[in-house]
Amino acid sequence: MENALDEYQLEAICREHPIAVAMFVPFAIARLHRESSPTEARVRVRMRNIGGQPEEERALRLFWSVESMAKQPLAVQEHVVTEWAALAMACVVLAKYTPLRLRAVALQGDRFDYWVTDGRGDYGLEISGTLEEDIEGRHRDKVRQLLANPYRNDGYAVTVRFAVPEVLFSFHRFEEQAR
Amino acid sequence: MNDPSATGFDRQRLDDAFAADEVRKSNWILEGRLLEARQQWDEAAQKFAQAAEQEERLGNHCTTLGLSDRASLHCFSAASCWARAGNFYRAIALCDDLLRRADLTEPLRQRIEDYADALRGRRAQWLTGLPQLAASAGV
Repeated sequence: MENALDEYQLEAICREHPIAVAMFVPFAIARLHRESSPTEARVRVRMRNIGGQPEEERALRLFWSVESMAKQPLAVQEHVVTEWAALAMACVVLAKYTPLRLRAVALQGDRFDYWVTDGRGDYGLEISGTLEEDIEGRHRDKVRQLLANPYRNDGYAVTVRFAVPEVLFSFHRFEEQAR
Repeated sequence: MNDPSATGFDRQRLDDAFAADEVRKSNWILEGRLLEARQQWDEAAQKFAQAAEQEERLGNHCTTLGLSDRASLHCFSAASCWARAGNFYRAIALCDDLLRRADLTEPLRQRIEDYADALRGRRAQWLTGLPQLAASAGV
């Protein structure tokens, strides 16, 4: 179904989320930037079980300032650029489409766990980024990881593909894993 | 809106000061990751050590409030941050403290056990190689 174009300024994530996500903005720009449109990108956003809707698709025009582009090389490996660009994109869809905000980051063994809050409770968040890989398969893996959380909490998964920008964002109940 | 029936960690008993401390340690972890990715190891270790101390305080506070699941989360994160800062001794000690708790869920217990075993293995490797390292440094 065709939708009207939503708009969001990438830098707004810095005001919306309590933790310091500003450092990830240049990574998102590095992955979204195209010579033909250096300060904006069209992103397909697919949401499942978000806001009471089983399935929803939005078209998002994401734009940014040239001042936010990295002035120097990002000096990290390519997969790290993709991972942190995905984190910035997760912050975008959370702020644009939900009242959820990125509240905390924890280290759990060798894994990083993200936590989002709606003010009443905290929920797990799994984030994944890829350049061209199959987004559905990657998302399924992330959901499986989310539902294996030892705290038995419900949570969210965000998977981002950057080749043709697309976000898959979904909510999951812990008891799904029993099915 | 978010699903009102969703099950998460309850925040009702946590005050603004707790939230601010949680944000501070999250920022240290994120900065630590960035520095680590740029191979600025000393600076990264310092951030993870700051985060570890804060996670321990958050965990102790949650224990005082009777929030045992949340306390476990912070204490396990503290152990992981200490390991990332290079302090295996403190990391393993925190894991062992956690494993003595009777109220851990089985999946969390398993994850902590696996992690503590991995740390012990890594420490053994490090200690085994230490004499050669000292010799090559002329110590």
